[in-house]
Amino acid sequence: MANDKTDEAEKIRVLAEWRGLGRALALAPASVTGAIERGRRIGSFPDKFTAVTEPATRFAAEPEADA
Amino acid sequence: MTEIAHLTIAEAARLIRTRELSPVDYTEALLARIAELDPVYHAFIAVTADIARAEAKAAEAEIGRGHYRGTMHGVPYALKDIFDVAGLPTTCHSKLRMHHRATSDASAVRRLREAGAVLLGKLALHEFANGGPTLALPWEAARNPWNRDLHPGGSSSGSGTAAALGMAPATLGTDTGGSVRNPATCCGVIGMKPTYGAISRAGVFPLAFSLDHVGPITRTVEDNAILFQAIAGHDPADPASARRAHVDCLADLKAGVKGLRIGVIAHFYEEDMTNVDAEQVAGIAGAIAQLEALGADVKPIRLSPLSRWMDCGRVIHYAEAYAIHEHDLQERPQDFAPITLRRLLGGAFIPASEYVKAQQLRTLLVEEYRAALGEVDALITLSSFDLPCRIGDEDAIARTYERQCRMPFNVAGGPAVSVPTGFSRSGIPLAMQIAGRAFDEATVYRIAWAYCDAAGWSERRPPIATAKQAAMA
Repeated sequence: MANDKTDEAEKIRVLAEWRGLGRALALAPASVTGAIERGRRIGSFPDKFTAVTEPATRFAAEPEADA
Repeated sequence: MTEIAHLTIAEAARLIRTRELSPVDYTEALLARIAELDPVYHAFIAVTADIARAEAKAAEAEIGRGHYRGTMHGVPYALKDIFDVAGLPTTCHSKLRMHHRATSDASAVRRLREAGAVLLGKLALHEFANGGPTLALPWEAARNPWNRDLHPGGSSSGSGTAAALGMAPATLGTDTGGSVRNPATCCGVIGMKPTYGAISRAGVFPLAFSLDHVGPITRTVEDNAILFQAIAGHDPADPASARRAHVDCLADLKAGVKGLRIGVIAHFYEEDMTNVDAEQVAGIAGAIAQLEALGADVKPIRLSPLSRWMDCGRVIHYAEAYAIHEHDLQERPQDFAPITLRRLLGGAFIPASEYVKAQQLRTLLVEEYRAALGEVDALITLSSFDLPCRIGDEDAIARTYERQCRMPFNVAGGPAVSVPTGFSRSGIPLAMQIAGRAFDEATVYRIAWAYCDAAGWSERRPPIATAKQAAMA
């Protein structure tokens, strides 16, 4: 159990460092941990929603002509 | 002085045009009111008295020479401190921006200058339009005009407070997930999030590019439409600015709602959210009955569940906001208020694939919204699910901050306005939203005007707390 907690803390530290947020982790560990949790549990997209079948986001090569 | 402070823009404009009201006297009256009330309500970060006096004097002289520019000429206004004004700081209510100086005007400010309006000052907000009310910043947090122990909504908090208290007849805010409509709801005034692209964001500090909107906050619907008209229109400096003809929102403003089809999105507050405040629900029920009595054809409409709209908007909001603040979050996290830090960090670990999927989902939701508005002329639903909580209660703020149904209209991009639907037993304003088709602000304003004119809630004024009373509380 103690090892699990240590592993989790180490994972959070590595993730935070990877994103350049070591200072933020030292200052506000609960906020960084909460942000990681939030990233793991992104919301309720519809069932069967995939990036293959749904429409592409808009891109205009000539924005002035198509804004 | 009080009577002048409570003039609507429409009333003041008529008096200014006929030279019955001096823009200089009007400005001085409002500066005096700000001096009296702002130490209690903290709506302003900076009062630009010198600029206001110079602009009022110039407006008066010009009108005296027979050159009247239009409805905003000589009318005072104030800006959420996220809009650039050349030579002034744009603090975004943040320690990180205390020493900033803007080198040019935001496009909306330029348009108001060209219209001859008078800048009274820069208004308080939630830090970077994102944090939530907090007492941990270099400037005070704006207070609710109906009960200064409560928060006034946000993020355009000072804009709502100043408008409600008659400190400024016209204020501008910004709205990424409800930040114009939330203070309008909490302060009992009118707040419009127009169509995405209708008002330029150039020179406005961004929160999330694809959801950000500039919007007016005023005491009446007519004033809101006047202010919208003054600043809307294409601006090449904003890549998202729409290139389309500007529609006149004032021509049919008072045409009534007889025969208009209005869809009620009741499932947002009856099924998709639990423990919705009963007084808010009673407020919108009364408004629906009023609109029917005025001749509107009201029927239920179903959209995707609220959670889908909220999740879509939240992923986009958090990811885009993090991109903007990443450097400071890495290098200066201690300079953000804790509540802001927590919210901005929410975007740090959202996978790129989720952001892409959220934008794709948004395309589907926009289509769904457009289809719904093929069946009706406008939609109505609640704004907030709760009454505002105490300003220093960060747990309650965190619990209630996202209990709202404003974000769907940022995701869809259509216009949505918050209008008062009455008052709670404790004297706090209740509100609903009226939303419409993209670039059909005219119909939204028309319904809002008809309802507000019949209901009369905008006539009620907040009880004024003096500095002595505030000190004793």
